[in-house]
Amino acid sequence: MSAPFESAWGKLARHARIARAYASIGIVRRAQFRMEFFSQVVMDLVFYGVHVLLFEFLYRHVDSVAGWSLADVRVFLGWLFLSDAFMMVWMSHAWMLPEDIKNGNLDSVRTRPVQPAFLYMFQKFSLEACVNMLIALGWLLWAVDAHPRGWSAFDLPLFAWCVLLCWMGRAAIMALFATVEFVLVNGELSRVLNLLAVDVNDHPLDIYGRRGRTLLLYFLPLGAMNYAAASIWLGKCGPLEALGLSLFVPALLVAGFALFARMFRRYESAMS
Amino acid sequence: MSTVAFEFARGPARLSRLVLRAAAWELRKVAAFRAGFWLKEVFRNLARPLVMVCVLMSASGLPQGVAGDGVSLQHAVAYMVVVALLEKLVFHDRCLDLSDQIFQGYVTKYFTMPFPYFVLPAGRFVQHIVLQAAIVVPAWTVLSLVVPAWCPPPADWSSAAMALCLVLLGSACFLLFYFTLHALAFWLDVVWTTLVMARMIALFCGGMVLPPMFLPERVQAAFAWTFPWWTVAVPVQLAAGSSEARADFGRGLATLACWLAALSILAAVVWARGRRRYAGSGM
Repeated sequence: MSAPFESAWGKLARHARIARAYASIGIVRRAQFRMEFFSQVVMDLVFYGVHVLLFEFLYRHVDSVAGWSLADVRVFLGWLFLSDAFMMVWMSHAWMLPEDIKNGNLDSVRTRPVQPAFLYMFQKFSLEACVNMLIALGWLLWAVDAHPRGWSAFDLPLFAWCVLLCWMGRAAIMALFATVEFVLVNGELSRVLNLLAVDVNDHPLDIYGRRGRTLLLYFLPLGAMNYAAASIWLGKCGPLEALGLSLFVPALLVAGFALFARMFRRYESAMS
Repeated sequence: MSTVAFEFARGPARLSRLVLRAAAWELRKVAAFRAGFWLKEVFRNLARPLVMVCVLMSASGLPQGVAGDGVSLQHAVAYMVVVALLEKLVFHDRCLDLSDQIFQGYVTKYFTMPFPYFVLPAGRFVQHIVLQAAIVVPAWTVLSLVVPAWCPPPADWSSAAMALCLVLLGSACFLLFYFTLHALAFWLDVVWTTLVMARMIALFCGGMVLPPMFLPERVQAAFAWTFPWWTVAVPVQLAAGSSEARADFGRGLATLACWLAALSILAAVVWARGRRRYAGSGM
């Protein structure tokens, strides 16, 4: 049972323990040799391959897209893959939210003294997606190394911060989309929004013009998932905006999870 | 599927009536989800091609007129706009829920009913085509009047008819393809990964991700052996009045007919074997 005045550090430690438990359950679930393990790895490889081929073929005919060179886009794709792999490792269960709300399966989440968005969405750790995370990281490191900007040991803290931003942005957006399900039950809107987000966000947001970029980065903040990290790393945004994004994305995560917790109060068991 | 053949022998008219009845009920079902209806049915498959239009419009180095390799900004954008329309007619894997029904043991009830299960997917196919055609035709008409340079109308009636013929045949191939993949749930614990993977490959092979003019010749030649290529990439060019695509119509028809026959057999075999394996209480 949680203490009534538990410190922030204590809460964080408790959530970390739960994440560790989820991870061990996920590993046990995949302890058996099964075809599904490979099918998920291959699926993500196809996802990576289609995106890479798309830009490699396109850049045979164009010089740049919205000011992004091929080297820039390769780095951008690295951040996209990393963000996607994070979702596949930790948050794939969010996809089941529409059914779980309809069928009244969230009672156990309601009764636990833990942040509900974390408890629900992080429950299905995927070992196979860890393989994809390694592949995504490999691609990103290769693209970063091959980029004319180059990098040195001094860039490591920035790189680590961008990775964190990327993951926080993905978690924030998924939590925000999930809240829609509590308002419009039966619409499966969180799924549709997630699919739309992938389509809209798998290219640099600059293709939508200055206003479109602002809209998609700060108001429908899809750019928090990977564009923010990519543009900070590549210096596509000024130092002031980089600082602003560094504050905005964590704030978005807190807001997304808080909103999920608030909307979760609307949930009624078994659609009563 | 063998039951389908039997039912057809008993009376194709009865089976057709059943399919139409199923389509009518499916239409009522999708129309009932109001917000979901707009997002899933009206805006289905629109985002990706339109994002590609934004990519092309913001690219520098694309010639305004047709370059030596056939690439031009206007051609590429017009291609993607028509893709956004025609792709809506292509059957989508999320129109089926067979794998979920197998996992949960719900297909049992269909085995006891006096009609083959395939009537339901066929009903969904008809519903999908009717609903999406009702969206595509007015949208194409309005767009071709307002922005004819970016969304040209079909070159002539015969081109439009040929394009429609290929799209419908190809869409039926997609139905059988996705049906077969869903039916793999009789053996596999997870099918969605296979479906997503297949969808991504099909979209790329069908010229729905990148206009074919950007693809190297060899890649285009390889894709021409697959049904997605003839389902969207060629019909879009046919509608635009391309004489090359018109000359290829016969080959496209033959390719799609072969795929349709092969996928029908594959779907029948997978379904029959899966039924034998099915225990009735979910997998």
